[in-house]
Amino acid sequence: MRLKDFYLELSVLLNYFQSFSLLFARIVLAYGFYEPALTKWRNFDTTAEWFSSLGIPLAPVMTLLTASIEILGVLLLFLGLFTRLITIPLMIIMVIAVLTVHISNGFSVADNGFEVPLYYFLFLSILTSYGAGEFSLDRVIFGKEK
Amino acid sequence: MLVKIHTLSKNILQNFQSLSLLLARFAVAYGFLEPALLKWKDIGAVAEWFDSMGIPFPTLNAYMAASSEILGVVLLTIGLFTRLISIPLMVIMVVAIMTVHLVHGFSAGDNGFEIPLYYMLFLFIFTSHGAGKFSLDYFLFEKKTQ
Repeated sequence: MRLKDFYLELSVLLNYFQSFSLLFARIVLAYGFYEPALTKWRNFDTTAEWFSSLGIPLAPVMTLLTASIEILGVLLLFLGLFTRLITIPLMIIMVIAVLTVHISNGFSVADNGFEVPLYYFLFLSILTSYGAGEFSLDRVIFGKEK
Repeated sequence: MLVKIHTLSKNILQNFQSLSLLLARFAVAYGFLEPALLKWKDIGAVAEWFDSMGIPFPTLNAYMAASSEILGVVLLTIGLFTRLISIPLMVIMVVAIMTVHLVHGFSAGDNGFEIPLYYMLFLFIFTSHGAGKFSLDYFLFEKKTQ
């Protein structure tokens, strides 16, 4: 079982990078949500009209909700605060974005397909299940996990 | 109160760790499938292209990249040697960003480094967290056999 020993040793070594990978993912996601969030706040009425044209009910309320969750998401993902709680509404936003906008364009990002929102959904699902890692306010406030 | 919510959500959401890794593995495997097949179809052209970008030993590196990618598709799907195969794939992503995408900026719409950066992040998460329970790695190496 040399291979097994090797793989377990390797795992012990690579486990040290878990929190780094979660930190990088959080920062990249925060950056990714930054522009959509600001665009929604700046062009609030246009966004509400767009939502309404997509058949989303209560468009102005939903715009306010989406824009708030996204800007909150930028801040909280960056700080690693309430990470699990904020990732869930962000995942829902990604699902709705895929269903209402992207799915008819296919997969590829080149055609405005659902590739990027799918990746965001997957990153968020990793963060929601693993938490924010060591380098986060969650860890400072709520202590070590497990 | 906040601590209670945090603990409760943690206890529930931790159960989805392996599922999130499985879905992310499938997405990355699917993402590598097309570039890998494209490289194998005309490896000579890839070598010339690598050469034109100033990559040393273009033929050797074309074969290395194409082999790592097709191996990556298979291994990420079945979750075998996940932490190991993620490392060369991350190197490929870094080289791709440096040689092709960096000059185009961030956005995927301009062929920027957005998508390879997301792939690198997924692979970094795989290499540090492993493949989760729904993988051959788990059954071969991690599961307690006694």
